[in-house]
Amino acid sequence: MVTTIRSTDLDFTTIKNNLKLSLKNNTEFADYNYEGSGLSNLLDVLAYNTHYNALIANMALNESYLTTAQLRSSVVSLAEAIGYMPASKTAPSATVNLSVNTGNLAGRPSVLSIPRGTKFTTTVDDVAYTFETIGTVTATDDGNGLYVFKDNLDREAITIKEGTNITKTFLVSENSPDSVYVIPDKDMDTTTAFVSVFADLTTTAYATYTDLKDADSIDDQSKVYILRETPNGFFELSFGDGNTLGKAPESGNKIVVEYLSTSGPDANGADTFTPTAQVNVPTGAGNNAFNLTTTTVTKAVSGALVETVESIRKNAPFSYASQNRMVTAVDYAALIKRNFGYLIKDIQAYGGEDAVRKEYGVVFISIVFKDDVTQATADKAKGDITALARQLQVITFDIKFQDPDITYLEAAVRFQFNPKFTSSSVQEIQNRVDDVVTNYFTNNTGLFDQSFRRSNMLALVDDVDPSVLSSRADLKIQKRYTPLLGSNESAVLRYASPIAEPNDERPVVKSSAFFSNGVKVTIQNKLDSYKLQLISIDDSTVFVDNVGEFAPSTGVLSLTGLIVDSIIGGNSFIKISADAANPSSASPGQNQIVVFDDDLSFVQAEITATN
Amino acid sequence: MSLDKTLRDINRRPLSVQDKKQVKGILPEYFQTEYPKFASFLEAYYDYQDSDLSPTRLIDELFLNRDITQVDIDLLSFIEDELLLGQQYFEGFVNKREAADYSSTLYKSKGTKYSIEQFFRVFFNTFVDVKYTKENVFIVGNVHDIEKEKANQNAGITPYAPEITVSASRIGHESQRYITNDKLYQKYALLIKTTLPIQTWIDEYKLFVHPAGMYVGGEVQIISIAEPDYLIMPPGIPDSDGPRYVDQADVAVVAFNATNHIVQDLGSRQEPFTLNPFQLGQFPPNMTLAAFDLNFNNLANVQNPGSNTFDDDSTPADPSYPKMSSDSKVLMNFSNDFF
Repeated sequence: MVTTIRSTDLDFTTIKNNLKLSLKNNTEFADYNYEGSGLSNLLDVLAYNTHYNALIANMALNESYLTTAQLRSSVVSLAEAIGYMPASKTAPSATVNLSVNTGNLAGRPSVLSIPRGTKFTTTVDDVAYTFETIGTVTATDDGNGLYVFKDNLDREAITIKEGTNITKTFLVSENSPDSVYVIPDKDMDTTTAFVSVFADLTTTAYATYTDLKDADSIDDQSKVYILRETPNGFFELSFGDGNTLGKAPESGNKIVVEYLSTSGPDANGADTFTPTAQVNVPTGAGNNAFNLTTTTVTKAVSGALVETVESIRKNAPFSYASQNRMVTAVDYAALIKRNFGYLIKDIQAYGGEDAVRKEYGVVFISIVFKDDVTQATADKAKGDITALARQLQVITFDIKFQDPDITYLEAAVRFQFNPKFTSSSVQEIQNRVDDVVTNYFTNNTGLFDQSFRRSNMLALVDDVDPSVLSSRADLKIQKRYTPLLGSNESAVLRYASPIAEPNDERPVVKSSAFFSNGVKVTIQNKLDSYKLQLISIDDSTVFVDNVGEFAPSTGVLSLTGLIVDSIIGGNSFIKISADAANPSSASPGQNQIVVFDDDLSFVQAEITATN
Repeated sequence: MSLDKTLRDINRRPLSVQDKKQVKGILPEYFQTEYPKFASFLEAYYDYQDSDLSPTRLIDELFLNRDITQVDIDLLSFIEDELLLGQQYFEGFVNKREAADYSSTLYKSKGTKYSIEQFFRVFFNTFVDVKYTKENVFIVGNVHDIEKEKANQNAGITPYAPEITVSASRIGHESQRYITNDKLYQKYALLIKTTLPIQTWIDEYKLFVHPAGMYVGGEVQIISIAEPDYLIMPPGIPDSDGPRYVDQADVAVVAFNATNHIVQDLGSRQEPFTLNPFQLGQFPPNMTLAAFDLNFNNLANVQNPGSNTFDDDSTPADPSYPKMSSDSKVLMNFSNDFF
């Protein structure tokens, strides 16, 4: 039997015709007139029944598989079935330094603390948001009445997160020892949940429960909870069975869930935070209020919406394959993305055996961070990733981070334009082509394993308007070299694709302008040679005969003994452009990505009267 | 014809939602007497529903859609998407259902020798030999009889070098040791011997079970099947007698000489071991067993002139029996005592 999940079979007329055909093949009904009104009506009813049933069956079947399900609830449910918990909304987080200066206040305490949930206000695009501390922070008197607060890891950069602190309370009834507790909030950031269980309604002592995915082992006394998305987008809290899979709250217990209900990415970028209240400093003579001095260390980043269906579809199988342990390269990528996905745009992991320079016993991680992630946040994330790896690695291999090796692409797009086929001006069409080219690069480059394909881009250009008769594009590949000004330096640049062979007409390698030993120069290859020279821009003479070489087939360019005084144009780097050996594509290799350089790319219309 | 001995219970669910036999049971009785044609017509309709022409055949699949054993092979590919990282590999799997069935076990044992063997069994229907080649790396240093030193330690005798737990390697092809290199013969490497070329399996292998950070080498095994005809004794030639055990003689050797056997202690029994006369000729006739024991770790040392060592500080009990010789045909090592 052939079975596929197709909707093409669900055409009513086809169903009716097939039914007719089937009945005609039956000797008992072979000679009936199926066009007659009575029988035709009967066939209509049966065909409708078939159509209806098939439609439901088709939909039910589609919703049964992670790759074909359309409903978010189905995708979430299927992902959870293989152990993947889709990410909830994520609150943006920032880091700040907090301090209180009491001067020489008599009788001041030696230690001050401010509680979890201390609030700060900020605005982004004229919309006000509230951030708050996610744990208690403490400070010690420096002897002069200055208190600088630190978190529980002794860091002065205190993390604050955006959101409204919500407390949800449940009472465990007699008949519900294995109940689930629904938290009706689609904006919940589940990573901020703090679950405590009280013995009864009046007691103040409580037991803290932790997320199941953070549990190292589970027995009947383990205090763990599971927080998962429900089909309607809310979240439900559940506990162990009370026997072997963790402790279950008992009848009469009070469950309190505190969490942040967040705006997600809307508050990303917030960089000025104002405390909503003063800090109380008690002395023997009474309480004294002082301002909390707040200095931003890193602006708010990593706020995100709930994980998308496509992301769940892609990540869940890899998460299942990893089984929460890091063995294969994809395990590393999957688990890092699962835990730090709110910071990461793309990730590539590979063993040292696959590195360009082999290094055994090492796993390399290359991460493209989201655009709003600062260097400080990225550095902190790398430390946290290493700590995570130490917990989840089966073999204690070293983790090494390798920043993505970026090769920039410069596209010179020209198209034949016949004005008689359009009412738009040449400039309008040129702008539209420019948008198409920019969108192509935005959607198809910038991540690992994304390649530039000229034919694909030109197909989009040709479709812009009937007046665009044909198009072509030249491609240059570009590396950026950041020198230490005034120093004699050497460097090796690795292009993502091979460089064109040198010729005797024009240089295939050429850089942006800079000053070297007081002369305005550019790097160029000597005609018909792999040798790189410094050419004076003012008189086109060779200023330095040999500053390196390049190898076309490998795309490796070496700079030797280069001295840069200053760079023209305000950049901190020199752009070294090269003709691509194969301008029809650029496929980055390991750890490489290609990115569009809009500044050195252009679109140009060539007006023609031909058809 | 052999019997089907499979234990798989295909079609083990007695479910049929489109069974035409149900028609007459469900229709009111008077329909069957007054409108028998209509009942037959409905049965014909259900025949159509069961045919490939009808899209409602998918209804039957609803009950099986998550059943790896019975789900239609086309739909199984969707399960493979979830459990086996995408169906681009699906067509390559030899045992598609088993691959899905055992995915959890495979993933949980990832990084182990077992997982590698299971991977090849399930995905390529072949057996492999997995070697951790660090065990074949040549180790430079002192040669020690580790077991003997342990025994000495247990017996209260101060071991020669208790801190050394790995003996240095011996030179010679028979030791199967290799100088450290940047591929197989270093700490983080494994070798997979299989009948398949590495290009066939390397991508899937790395995706599913390979511990990132380790070098993986492949060796193609060419396995011949012996032709049994060659092993049959031609007719008319009687089998010769097999070896016979006659008796055991205890050999009490107190001094070594060229005409004696050396007694090899094999635990509870003693067994004669005859040395090559050529080698025996290299030793003085009055060499005692005690001196012999101190100079050689085991009989293999004596038997194999090629098993030289890089022992740099040997101290023979009796300097009159140096271990070293410039004659390459006899036992030798590189003792500092000699050079």
